[in-house]
Amino acid sequence: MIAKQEIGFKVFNYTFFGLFAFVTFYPVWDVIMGSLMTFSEYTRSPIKIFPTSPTLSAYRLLLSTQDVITPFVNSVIVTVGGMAFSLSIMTMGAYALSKRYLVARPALMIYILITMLFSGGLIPLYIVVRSMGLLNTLAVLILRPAVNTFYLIIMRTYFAGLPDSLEESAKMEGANDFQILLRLVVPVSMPILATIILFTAVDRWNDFINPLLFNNRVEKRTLQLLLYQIIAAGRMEFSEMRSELQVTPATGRMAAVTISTLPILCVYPFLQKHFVKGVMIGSIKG
Amino acid sequence: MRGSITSDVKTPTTASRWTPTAPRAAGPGKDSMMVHAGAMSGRLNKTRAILTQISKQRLLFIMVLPVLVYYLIFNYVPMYGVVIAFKQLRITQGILASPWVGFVHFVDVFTDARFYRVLGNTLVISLYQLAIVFPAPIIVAILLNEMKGLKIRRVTQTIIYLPRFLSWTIIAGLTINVFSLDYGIVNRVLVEQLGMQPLNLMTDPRNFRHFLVLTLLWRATGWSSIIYFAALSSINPELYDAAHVDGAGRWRSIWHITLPGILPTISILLILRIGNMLDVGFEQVFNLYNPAVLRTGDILDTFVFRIGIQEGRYSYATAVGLFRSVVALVLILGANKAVKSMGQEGFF
Repeated sequence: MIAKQEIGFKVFNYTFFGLFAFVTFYPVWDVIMGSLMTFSEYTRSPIKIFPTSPTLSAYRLLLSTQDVITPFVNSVIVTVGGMAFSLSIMTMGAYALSKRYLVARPALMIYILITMLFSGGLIPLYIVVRSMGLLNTLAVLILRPAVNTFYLIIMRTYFAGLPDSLEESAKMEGANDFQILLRLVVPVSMPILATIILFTAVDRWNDFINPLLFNNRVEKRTLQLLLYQIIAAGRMEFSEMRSELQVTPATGRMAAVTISTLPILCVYPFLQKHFVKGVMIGSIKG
Repeated sequence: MRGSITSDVKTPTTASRWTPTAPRAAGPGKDSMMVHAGAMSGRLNKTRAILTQISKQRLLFIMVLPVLVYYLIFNYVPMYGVVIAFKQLRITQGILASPWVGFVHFVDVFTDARFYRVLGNTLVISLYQLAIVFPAPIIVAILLNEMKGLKIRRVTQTIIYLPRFLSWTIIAGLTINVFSLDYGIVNRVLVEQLGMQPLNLMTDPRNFRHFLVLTLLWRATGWSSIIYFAALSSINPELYDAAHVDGAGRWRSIWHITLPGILPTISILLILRIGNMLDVGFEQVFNLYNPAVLRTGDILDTFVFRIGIQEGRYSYATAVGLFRSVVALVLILGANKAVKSMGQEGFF
């Protein structure tokens, strides 16, 4: 009786996850394969496995209707620059805040945590950015999301767990705090730093709200914003951005989705382990 | 729950002590003696002692300065900026020089039918998400835990965590391929294979909330299951053996052992979710909605964006935003209190 139940359960479970994995992955597959087909081949059958005669015509179509290169370069700049900047200031900040003897540490922590409770909202932020002259610059895409309180606290927690002896012996030899951080703390903190680097890079690459609010000029936009405009225009619906875009044909749109997705898809299998570790550490303090 | 996860990833036990109220341990000898000396003599001496210490720790303060400046510019100045809600903002004169108008904008907001519509939409969509998207990862984690083949389990996990790393813009692109009325997979199967009516999820206001929940379910379920999965691995396996000996089948074991084992995790995440009630997800809605579905799909955040940034009614939009922030604050503090009353360490 129980044995029968077991087999039934196994069948159910594997079927469930088989379907789950298919539903999760197929849309991604479909759009990539669609970008390698002509539209008539794309519409031939509902499920696509491989293109019978792969073609790059969709990419030529996309490049002829849109400037993809500039947004792509902008996205790379923001991803690399944003990651480097974020990581530098968060590492320094988290390290200083991890020192129990830091004067006014409780006050500084309260200063930081209050921002998780209350926000001024979208419009005041927009006016601040505008009055600083940061509107329509790539710099705003690096500066505005530079600190993530959640990541900052994860890093701080990690640094606080390192043995005090590390610091004390280096101090004895006359090293200052910067030297200690750079030469001793960073090398032993690579697991957590790698995790934060990956999260930050993906966050910057996928960033949508900051470009939308602060940097939506055609010549300065990032890949995500270009993609948004292609999709919004291509739906034959309104474009929030009131862009002067011409409509990109369906396969061209799939090519644009593929170009935006591929960098993440390429690194993902190798990085997934780090991501999971990151969320585990993070879940200690939700 | 926390303990088990901590040990899982080998985070040091000092990990959980990051709250600002955590007792300060004495630092290296000299510094802590300075504090003592300062406390004993007068206030002036104390101030001087603190200043001396700050100058001693100036490198640490230089390190933390960029982060503090960041919060000042991007969080605290905008917090002050909510005064726009009580002023008639003239963008050329700046916030300070604009004249005060009292509660005029709030009267406008609370007498505006559109405000009640977006507030209603926000609450309905949020509750709908809570009912469907919240329980899903629990079920997935339990079933995943029952999957015994380690290799196939890892492959499954890799696939189902993926959507978390795709932006809503990318997902908006994917949904057209899946749900388009002309060539989407779903409608082609429905119409051509099954001879049914086409399903219009994307532009029919009656279906748009289903569309939002469905896409969020697709993106969040796998990733959110991680935390429950971690909680599950801390359940003592002997409990299952004992249940097996007693003749309990799999479903009974799940009901009587697995579920109670992760109940603390579930309740904390549920409370937090309720604390974030008003946060339906700007990026999701903004990337998926269109004029045809505004009636059912427009939420507070998208409303603030359209009225404020696009129509330039800064004061009105700030008033709506301030209302949202205040309600969110009350909800979060309430949630924090609820977590504490369950005997867990609070978040603030």
